[in-house]
Amino acid sequence: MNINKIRNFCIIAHIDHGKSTLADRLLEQTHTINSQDMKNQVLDDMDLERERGITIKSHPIQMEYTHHDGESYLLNLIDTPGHVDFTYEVSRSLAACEGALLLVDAAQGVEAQTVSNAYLAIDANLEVIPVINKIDVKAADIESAVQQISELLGCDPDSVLKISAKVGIGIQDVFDAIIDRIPTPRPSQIDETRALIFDSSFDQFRGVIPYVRIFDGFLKKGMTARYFANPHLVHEITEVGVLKLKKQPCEELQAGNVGYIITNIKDVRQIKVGDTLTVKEKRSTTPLPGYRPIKPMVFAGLYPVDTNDYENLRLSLQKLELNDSALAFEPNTSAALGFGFRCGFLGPLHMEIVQERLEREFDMNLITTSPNVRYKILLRSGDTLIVDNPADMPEIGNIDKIFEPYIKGEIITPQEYIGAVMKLGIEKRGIYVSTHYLTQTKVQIVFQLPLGEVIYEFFEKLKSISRGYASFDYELIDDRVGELQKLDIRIAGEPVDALSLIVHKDNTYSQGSLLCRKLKEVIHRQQFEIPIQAVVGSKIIARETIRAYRKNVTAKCYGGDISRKRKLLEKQKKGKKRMKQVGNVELPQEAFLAVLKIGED
Amino acid sequence: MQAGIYIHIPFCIKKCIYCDFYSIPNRENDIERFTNALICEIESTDLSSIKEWRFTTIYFGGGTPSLLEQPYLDKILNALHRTFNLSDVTEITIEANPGEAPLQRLKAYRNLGINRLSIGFQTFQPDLLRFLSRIHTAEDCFSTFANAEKARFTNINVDMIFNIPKQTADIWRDDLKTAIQLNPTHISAYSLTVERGTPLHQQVVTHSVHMPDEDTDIRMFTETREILQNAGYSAYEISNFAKPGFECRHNLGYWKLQPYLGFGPSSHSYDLKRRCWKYSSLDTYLKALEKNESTVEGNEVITENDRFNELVFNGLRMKQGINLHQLSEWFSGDFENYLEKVSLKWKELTIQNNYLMLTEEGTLLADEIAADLFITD
Repeated sequence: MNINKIRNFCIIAHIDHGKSTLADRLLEQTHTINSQDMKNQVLDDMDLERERGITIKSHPIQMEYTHHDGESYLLNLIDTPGHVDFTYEVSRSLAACEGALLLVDAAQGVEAQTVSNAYLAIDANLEVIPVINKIDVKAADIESAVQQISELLGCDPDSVLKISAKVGIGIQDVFDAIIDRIPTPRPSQIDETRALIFDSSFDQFRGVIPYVRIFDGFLKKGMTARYFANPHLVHEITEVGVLKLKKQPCEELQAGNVGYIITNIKDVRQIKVGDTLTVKEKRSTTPLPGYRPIKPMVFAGLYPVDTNDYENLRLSLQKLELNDSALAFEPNTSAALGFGFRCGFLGPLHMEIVQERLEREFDMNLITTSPNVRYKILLRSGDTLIVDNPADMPEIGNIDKIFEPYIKGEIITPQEYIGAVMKLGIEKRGIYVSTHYLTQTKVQIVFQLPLGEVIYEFFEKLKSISRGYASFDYELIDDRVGELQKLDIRIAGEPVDALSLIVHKDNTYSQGSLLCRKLKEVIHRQQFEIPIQAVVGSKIIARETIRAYRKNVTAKCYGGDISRKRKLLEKQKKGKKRMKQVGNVELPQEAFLAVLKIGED
Repeated sequence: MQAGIYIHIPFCIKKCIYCDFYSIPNRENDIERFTNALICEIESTDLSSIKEWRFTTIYFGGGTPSLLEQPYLDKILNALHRTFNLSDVTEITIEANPGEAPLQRLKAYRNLGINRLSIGFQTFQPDLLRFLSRIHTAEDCFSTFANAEKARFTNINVDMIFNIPKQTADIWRDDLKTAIQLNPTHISAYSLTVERGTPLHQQVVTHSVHMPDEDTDIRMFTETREILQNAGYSAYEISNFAKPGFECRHNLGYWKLQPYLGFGPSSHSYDLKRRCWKYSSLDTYLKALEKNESTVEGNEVITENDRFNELVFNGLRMKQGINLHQLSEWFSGDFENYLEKVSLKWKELTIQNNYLMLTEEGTLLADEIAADLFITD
């Protein structure tokens, strides 16, 4: 295939702006799939993705398209995730493309991830094609959406496409723009082979399957693969191919194209997404420019409720890691919860997804501790310590300074919620940076915020104060000194390490007493009195008491009551199964997440 | 196999604020229509699957069944006789409200063969009766009880309620003693329970009414058992007390998981494998029967686990406890090991003569312990 007949592109959009629907239309019109076996939104094949309407993993797919000039083209669509935690995955997908369709909902207009995605695409030197989607819906305000997007990109309003992927309006314009406006891949510059690994999947028989974009030279079956990030790894490429709906083997993959190779490597950690692949036969000595390396930002402990499930949990996490390279984990022992893992996630949503997948796909019964960020601690001794688990915090006396990660957070909101957004930002210890009117009624507000505050109920609060209209995106900026200290919780006199948290000094008392109160609500009464104490160092700063229960008996039970009462008690029993015995107190899963709910009152 | 028949009469003059049974006021004009429908329902019973059943009890509950005058009950009982073999029936109960069952009607009931009367006293305190939105007085209680005796009812239950807001332990003790002085053969004493969907529930969640604290509830519960047992009533179930030989056979049937047939709106039927229930709406129920359609609103399969759990839950509520032989039949696995584990864990459990039962202290935790004994998957 002539390199001039290849287009590599992706679709980027804020969540729910119709990315998957547009992808479906493109696949349908190029007959890549027939409408008969067309599952709705074929690219989202995880249950969770479909339920939540978001794409978590990127799935490249190749289409053959015949243009109206009669010429055939290969269109490689690299799908991208559409959520704030997954900026990293977006950026690596972009590195494999020359162009991006930036999709904006005609009713919603520009949102926070529209902005962040647009900047990512511009930074990656992509040709950005603005597309207004859902022009058929009642609430559509096409003019305003066009104005917002052309202002964002600094482009001619006439260059903005107006389509409805759902009903199929303007799809031909999209194909025309892909062919006419997206640059052809640059030809090979050297007589060496270099391919970017932008994603991978795992097959239990064929091992890791890297998805690659060839920038220089070519890849062919039988060649010997070499990797820049892992110089010791050498293996034969047993197959190359392109990604149609299924993998389709081919003779060779030329520069400019996108495809896969079969490695038979069974250990996923051997091959890193973002690395450059070369071959012994045409070996290159300089890697392609890499992109932002993966970096977990949020950490939490995962512990099996039943300690016998530890090994199962390890296996489950390893399996998840196969198609979620963003997940990091290492064994960890909690005095309260026993053996488990300390896991690193891209953000709070990613954490929630991993937890849900473990429970659903692997049937694991888990206790998840409240999330934390990674702190840099400067000790009096002059040493530096990295801590992402409050339980590992050194004694107060040994600490000189604590540094916490800060983000730049961009909030886009209708102007009537500016006041509420400002208040939220300040509550979360944010430093106000700027306000920018995108239109007369839509405002972009920028804050610098401690990441540690953003992971607690920030999205939920933002949504609730703006009736769902505000959107949010963030990026890490730096670490700053924070007035922080560790807050411990004792239940029935026993310190529960998994409930410790790191809080700002000004909030210690209020958070301590709120946490005690929340714990009182979620911990079931037991046959003895349970004191709950919040402690800083050795000083008790708050206390609540759960009174012992002494009566639990149904008054009436006759013919019509039996089923209902049985189910009630069964539910009670099942609830207990999910509890973790700490000392002689049974703690429900909610206790460990109580800290997340502190802000709810 | 012993079995029972339950007939639900949904009519009430007034709905009480705490009641979560299906009942409907101001529809007494439909009694005739209802009776005809009920008879159709009884007569359309599929007899093929209950050949082995031997009916021993009939229970008219509600609602207020005593709103039905003699001719209606006569027709209903006749329909039952026509449809089933009732030669083994030894107990026929009807529920009545104080002041709503005149002497003549009670006499007529007795003549129909109804031999057990259950009267809903609840309390003798005017303010508490008002709070519960009951429309009778203490005098109504006494006169209805006297009339029942005049009508030659020799097996009478009175329903009493404690744990009512503003009721003190002293007031309750007085009420209980007054009831005992009447010398009924059976006393049911319930702790007032706030059920979802009732006006009482609404009042409690909006804090316009405060339920007594747990200590008061426990004190009344414990004293009730003491006082009634001292007065010669056996605490044969958590909330039911009887003179020797006057335990309610119909209710014992429920608790021992014997089968039963239910007729009337919201009634349940159980055949050991399945529990089904009729529409909880008088109108839907009537229309279904008038169109010759089924009155069954839903049903559920009772699995072996379910049956095991029901046996545990109901059995622990009874003084005699759970028949371990019966229980082991529905347990898959090492029953001895299971039994050893749970009896070690709960000092409130004892085993006597192959029955597993709660100690006196254990009755307060019956649900807690039952749930722990459940098998769940």
